[in-house]
Amino acid sequence: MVSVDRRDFLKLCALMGVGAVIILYSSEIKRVIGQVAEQGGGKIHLIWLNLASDTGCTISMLQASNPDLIAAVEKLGISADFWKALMTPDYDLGWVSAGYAQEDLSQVPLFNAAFGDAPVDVLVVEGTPQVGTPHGSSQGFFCTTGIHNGSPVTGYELLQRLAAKASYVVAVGQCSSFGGIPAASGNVTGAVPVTEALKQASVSTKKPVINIPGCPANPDWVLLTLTTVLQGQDADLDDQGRPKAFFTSYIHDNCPRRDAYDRGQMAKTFDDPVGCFWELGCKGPITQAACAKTKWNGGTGFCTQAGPMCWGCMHPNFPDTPTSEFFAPLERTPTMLGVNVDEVGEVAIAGAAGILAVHAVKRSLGKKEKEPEKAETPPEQPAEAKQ
Amino acid sequence: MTRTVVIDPFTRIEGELSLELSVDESSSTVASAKATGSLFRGFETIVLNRDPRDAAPILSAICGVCYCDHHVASVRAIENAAGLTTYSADYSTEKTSIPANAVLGRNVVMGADWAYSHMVHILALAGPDYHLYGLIDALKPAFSLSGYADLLREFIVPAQQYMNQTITLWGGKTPHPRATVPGGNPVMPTADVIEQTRRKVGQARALTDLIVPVVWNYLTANVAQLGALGKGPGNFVSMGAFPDPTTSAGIDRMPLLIPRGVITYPGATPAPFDPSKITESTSLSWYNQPETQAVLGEQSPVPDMSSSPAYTWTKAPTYDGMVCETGPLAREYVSGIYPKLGQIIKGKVSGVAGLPYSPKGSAFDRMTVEALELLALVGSANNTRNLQFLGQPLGLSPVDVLQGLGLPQSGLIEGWLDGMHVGEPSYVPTYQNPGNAEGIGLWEAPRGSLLHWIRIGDSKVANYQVLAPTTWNASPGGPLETSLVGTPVGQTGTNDDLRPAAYVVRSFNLCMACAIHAMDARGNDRYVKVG
Repeated sequence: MVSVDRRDFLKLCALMGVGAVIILYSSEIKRVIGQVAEQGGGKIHLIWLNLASDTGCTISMLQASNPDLIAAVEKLGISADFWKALMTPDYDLGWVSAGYAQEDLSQVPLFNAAFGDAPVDVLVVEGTPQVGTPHGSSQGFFCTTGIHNGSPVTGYELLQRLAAKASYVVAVGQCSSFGGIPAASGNVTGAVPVTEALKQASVSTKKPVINIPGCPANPDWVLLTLTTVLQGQDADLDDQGRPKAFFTSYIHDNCPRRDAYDRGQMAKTFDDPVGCFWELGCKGPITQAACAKTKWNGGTGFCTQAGPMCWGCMHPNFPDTPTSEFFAPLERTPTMLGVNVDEVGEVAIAGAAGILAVHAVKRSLGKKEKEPEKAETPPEQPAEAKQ
Repeated sequence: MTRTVVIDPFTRIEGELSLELSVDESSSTVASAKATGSLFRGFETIVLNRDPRDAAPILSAICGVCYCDHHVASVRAIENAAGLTTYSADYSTEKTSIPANAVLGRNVVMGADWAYSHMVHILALAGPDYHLYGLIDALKPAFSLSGYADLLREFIVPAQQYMNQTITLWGGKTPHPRATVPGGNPVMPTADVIEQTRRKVGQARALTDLIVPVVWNYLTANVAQLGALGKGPGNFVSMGAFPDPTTSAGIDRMPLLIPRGVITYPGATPAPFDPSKITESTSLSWYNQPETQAVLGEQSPVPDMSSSPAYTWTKAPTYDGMVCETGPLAREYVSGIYPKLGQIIKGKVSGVAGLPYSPKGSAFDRMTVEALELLALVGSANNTRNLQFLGQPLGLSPVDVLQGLGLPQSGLIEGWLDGMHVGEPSYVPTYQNPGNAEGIGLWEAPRGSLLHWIRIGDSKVANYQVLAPTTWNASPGGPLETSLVGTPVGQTGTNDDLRPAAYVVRSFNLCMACAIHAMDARGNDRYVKVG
């Protein structure tokens, strides 16, 4: 295996796309993690805070493979002081009050971190902060965790206290990054992204909040991002707070059915073994994510590999327009790479080389990353266009 | 004299649970318990006015632990509304027009989902309560394990990963594979995918063959304590799972491997299941509408925390007016599999009258049935006759147990693969939006009975209701609260005092996110009027 030092490793991540790095340098990743642990000396205190979530991102972390979760936690020297669903046997009952150790913050590391002196190096947020007020109650009471000074503590308050204290705040998953399903149209709980919730509370963080969206977040991306920042390197983030390494290219660019698209071969039903699922609603063309490069579940697959299509679960607006209606095709003119899909079909008859030439021109103009953005704000929104 | 003990947050479960125990000082037992679900998200309004098919990929995120179950239950509700799948009058069989391959493909995904969920619950969530069943010592000297991290790395994490990878082969990724759509399973059963699936199941089996007997022997050695803890209401509901399209009736009349039924007193013959008998009360829940409503067609109430004496977001469902327990114990009681296991071991050792060990259920019964279901799903190649009960040898191996129960030795998941036909369709493009219709999606999630109900009006979602397993089990006045009464509480002033209560709580494998989902915060004007 090729040996590279840590800085070269990071350069490689940037240059090659992390997907290639993961595949080529998985043993190198383990070595780098080991170096971080040696240099770090002490423990890294991590709090995993669940807000309005379904715990899917916690379960996703159990599926991590490059590196795996246990190796990462051990080798990075992470002390997961509070991670509700995966607490170690030492704290298996959580916060016991009244008659036991009431207000003894050491009993529950979450509260010792939020209200006491315990350090917080990394705050991971899973789930959407809810800033709304239920009728007959106070702000944030759609979600409470634990009791402090005799009263329930809202998830919103815990977020504010922990985010102000933490060296790094990482929003893991679609809910904390962009609001996700709890913040979708029709929600009544005042669910907003972590960055918005902190802004409303006038809480500033030591470093910009890192967003790792997805329903769920890809666990390998989370651990590699943590590895990067725990080396003392700032993560290279885009204007949405996402690590560029994982959220630059589009699903469509690396789809196994991309050839079919280039030929203008469009699937008409979901059991089409070859065709592109654009007309059936695939959201790969507007969704930036490295799913195809790194795959999921230990390299087993990803949505458009198994079939049928991408649901846009990492798009900032998921599950609203333009990711839904999920089964409605994306606006087609003049959105994708400047080529109308119907025209693609016609051109394909004339010769596939023409299509490839179009792509080549677009790439050479350096517009490839920008252009699909237009698909997000088509003249007519798909949801409105239908019926 | 009573004192109040609050456990909040209750860890190693899914979601936000605050547990308040009123402890009788004289007897040092729990006199009463209040379970508060303290997170509210409100999914049912989020799906309103959307394309009906869009409900499933959104509602899968009700739960990130049993993600496949909500997704498939929702797809099934939509298929029922569209007339693709219908139930017999007594709900005992199903008729479908989606291909047999699709039915079996969903079974594979859901079976792997049950197996992974059971592994995580038995080992990583409840396991620490039981000192990890002595697994670390039991696996020596073949494996060098120095602690919990080693056990996680070598056994627990890989075992559940093989099952998640199985789901990924058929659904794209986990959590939240969204591949199944109304009309079938677009992931075709190819020889390659089937072979890869068999390999994953085999890898999982190699690990469970080592783990399950140790867990079984630990639980059955401690049956005197665990069997006395957590007596439930004694009523059990199962909404059925795993339709079988391989009988001579094909897809026209599919029996269910896990049948639907209700047991209303210990030992009773299961009665047919009828969803119209389910009602939900919110009199102790943070909603504005105290009237009891039928769950089918329910108008979700508005969140309202000013209502006294409410203390939870969880509603209180009943079946025919009865508080019911749901979960692996309930469904394997209804299916007869668990009582049949009792017949197999009865007489092999003294002191066992049969199973369930406690007729109203217990912490022991709930945990043991989960281990049994795990064994049934992935199968066993373990012929070592070292299973015990009360520490005494039964003279049975895991393979003997499967054979005695009439279950395939290679496991149910491989059985469903066997029934597939490569080259035949697993999807039909016959779904059409019915415009105005209602549909029910019945299923069993790892944690118990799951009901999705949809009303489609003007081709959009006009009303949607979900009734999840933990809504039954953690409801105000429900099985969890009932089963905690009488639980001993120690007096040392440490967390160990609450160990028995933890056994009881975690035996229900709670999922609070599933339990709380419903509401209509803007009142009934949110609803699209139908007809």
